[in-house]
Amino acid sequence: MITAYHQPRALDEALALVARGAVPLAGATGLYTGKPRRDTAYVDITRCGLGAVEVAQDRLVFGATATLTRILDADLPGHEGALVKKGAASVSSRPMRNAITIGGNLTHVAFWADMPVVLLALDAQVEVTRPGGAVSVLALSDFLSQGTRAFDGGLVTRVFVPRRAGTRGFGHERFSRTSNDYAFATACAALRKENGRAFEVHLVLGALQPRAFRATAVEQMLEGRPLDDALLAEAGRKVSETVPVAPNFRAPAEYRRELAGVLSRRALAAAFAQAKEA
Amino acid sequence: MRFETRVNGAARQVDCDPGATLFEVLRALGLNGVKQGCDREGMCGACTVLLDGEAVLSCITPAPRAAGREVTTIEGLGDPGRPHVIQKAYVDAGAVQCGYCTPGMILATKSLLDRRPDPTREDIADGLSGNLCRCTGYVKIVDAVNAAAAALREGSK
Repeated sequence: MITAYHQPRALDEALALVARGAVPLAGATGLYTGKPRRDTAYVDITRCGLGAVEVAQDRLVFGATATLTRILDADLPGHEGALVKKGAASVSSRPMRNAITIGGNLTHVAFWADMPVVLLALDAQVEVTRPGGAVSVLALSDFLSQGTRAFDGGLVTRVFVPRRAGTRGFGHERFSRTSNDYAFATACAALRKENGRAFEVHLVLGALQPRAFRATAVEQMLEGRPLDDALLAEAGRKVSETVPVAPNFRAPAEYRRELAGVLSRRALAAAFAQAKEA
Repeated sequence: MRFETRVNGAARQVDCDPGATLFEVLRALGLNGVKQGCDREGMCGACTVLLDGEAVLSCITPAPRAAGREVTTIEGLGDPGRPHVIQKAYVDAGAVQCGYCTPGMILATKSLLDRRPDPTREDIADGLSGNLCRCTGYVKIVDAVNAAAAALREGSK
């Protein structure tokens, strides 16, 4: 049962409510699904001025309550901007994207969440603000591994995506039954190319485990090597053979494991083709 | 809890449970054009209304979020005697069968055409991506959106 619904106009006020036990929400798309919480007061943070999207010299800055529609409508430069938009566009439908926020997509910790996949590939960071104004910035990988402990007692306030020299390439492959549906599997690759070889390889897999994760063994296998067809096929096979896949009613684990390998191969190939020589 | 909002251009004072959805409040106001098709999952779009001109799914939108804002339902667009251009286009194109999805479709179309007066097919697919129709298929609906867009552009000259 929802006992109160607060709509503060300032971050300090929202943090004070969170400190008193109110549960923060933004897009609220998951509020009415699943098992209702017992006697919960909510604090809606969408009127706290956290919805801006800004382009700084060294990074893209997303306010936590920036909706995916606002992100898609923003003028975001570079491959980083294009990849963030690709991730946002892959989420559900237009009216859902009008509600879903970037911060909510990270904090909701849902296995199907699409934004963590692209943001992990981009080495994003998450800013958490706590009552009293204490601010911490975590690498998204740490943020995801900590689960809700990463922001307990505080609020996610901004998400940062570093802008790098335009030499990195990205690939994003997602498969679902319909464009609105949750993904069966998603793969996102990012890398740098030098002398025909791949470096700083990131391969992120989504919708396979409770949280998006990097396939580090495959990344290490590819580091410093030319991504030719044979190596890409080997990488895809390694994903299929080694990636842990959690049970899911949408499709059998064997199918999703095979799919993850195919999507990984395609994403890596696209990233390598897109990357410019340093 | 109590809050003030505007619904179809008229100021309204709402007194509701803090957990009420916008859908529940609108139905309680007698605005029966807003429909519930799925189980509060935001998957069907039959409950679509406009909140400050943007399409939202009222069955998963907390009612208090409408405080101080403008809500538009299908009743605010037109009526059988004086249909809105978009409503007329849907009828003329044969885009209506059982009609259950139609209010949501039309409001999603309104939101789309307000921001993209000359939409591409991809724009239309995206604009209606949250609305399911189980009767007509989508060919006639897309025809209706194109016809409405043309009529609105013509009317604005």
